[in-house]
Amino acid sequence: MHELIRERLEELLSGAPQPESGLEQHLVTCTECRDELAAFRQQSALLKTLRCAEALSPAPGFYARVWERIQLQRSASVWNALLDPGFAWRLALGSLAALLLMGAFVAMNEKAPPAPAVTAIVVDEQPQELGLDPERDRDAVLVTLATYRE
Amino acid sequence: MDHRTSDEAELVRRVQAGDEAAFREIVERYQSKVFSIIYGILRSHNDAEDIAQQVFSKVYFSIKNFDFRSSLLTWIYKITVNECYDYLRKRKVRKLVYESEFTEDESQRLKAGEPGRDQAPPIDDVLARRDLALKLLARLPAEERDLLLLKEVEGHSIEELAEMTGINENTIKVKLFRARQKLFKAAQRLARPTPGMAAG
Ligand SMILES: [Zn+2]
Repeated sequence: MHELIRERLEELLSGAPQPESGLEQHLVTCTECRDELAAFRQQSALLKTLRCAEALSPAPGFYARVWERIQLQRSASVWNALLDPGFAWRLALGSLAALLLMGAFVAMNEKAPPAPAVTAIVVDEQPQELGLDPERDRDAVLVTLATYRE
Repeated sequence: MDHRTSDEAELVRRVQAGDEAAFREIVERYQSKVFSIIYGILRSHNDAEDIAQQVFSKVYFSIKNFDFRSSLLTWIYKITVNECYDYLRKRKVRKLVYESEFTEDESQRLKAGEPGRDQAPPIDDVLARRDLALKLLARLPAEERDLLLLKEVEGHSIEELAEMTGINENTIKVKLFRARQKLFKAAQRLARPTPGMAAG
């Protein structure tokens, strides 16, 4: 198909009321373009058989049925994830890793000397050690919060 | 047109944020359209209900990926056509076997439709023509198939298609031309009689 016709193909297929004389002239003389255009017109008519002329609406309660389906698919996907062998394997590996980490942590804490775990938090002008008396600690925090304005 | 600023975009954002009322609004706004698209393709009221439910379920679960490049309707349209083809593949309704060669009857129709034959017999069997159209469209990539459907079946103009898809008009024309050519070639290729049906 020649450029001239190809560029205006969609218009020609949409049934442009009056093709320009240049186009008309070309179609009269060029068999290739004429035949291809005829084939595309047939194809266009074939596709139009898929048109739905009627205005349709679903039976009442359609949304409720859609929502029900969504809930069903949602619970199904949770189960599928749980029953997926890949997931089970990852879960087992993950649990094993967590157990090992916890074991290592406990073992290290048993050997290590008692560490001043909270000293890092005490950075301002409150010299008293925190973590000994919960009541006093809370007051200290409240005071810090209340004075924190600037 | 920017699809990120329409009232439709606002609705989509609400659904993306988990607002069920907004999702309901989308369903109610587009349910008739979706039913018509499905019915146009499958001509079955019973199947239309089932597929439409599946379409909106897909809309619900994948709306988080909606990127506002096309209009919401265009996006829903694509999902709907896809679901119809999925359904056809699964059920192979009315013996539509997409991977198979064409039947002899269909080959005859295609040959009759070849250009340059003025004496093409009138094809009055609308149902068979629809099956043929679906079968040919199944051989196109989804994007080209959907564009052709939006143009020929939904009757949108090139300008409208550009606005709906966010693709410029020239590109739309090129894509449509490519799709038409592929469809034509598929028809030609498949209309060629296979050795078993050459006689007659
Ligand atoms: Zn030409």
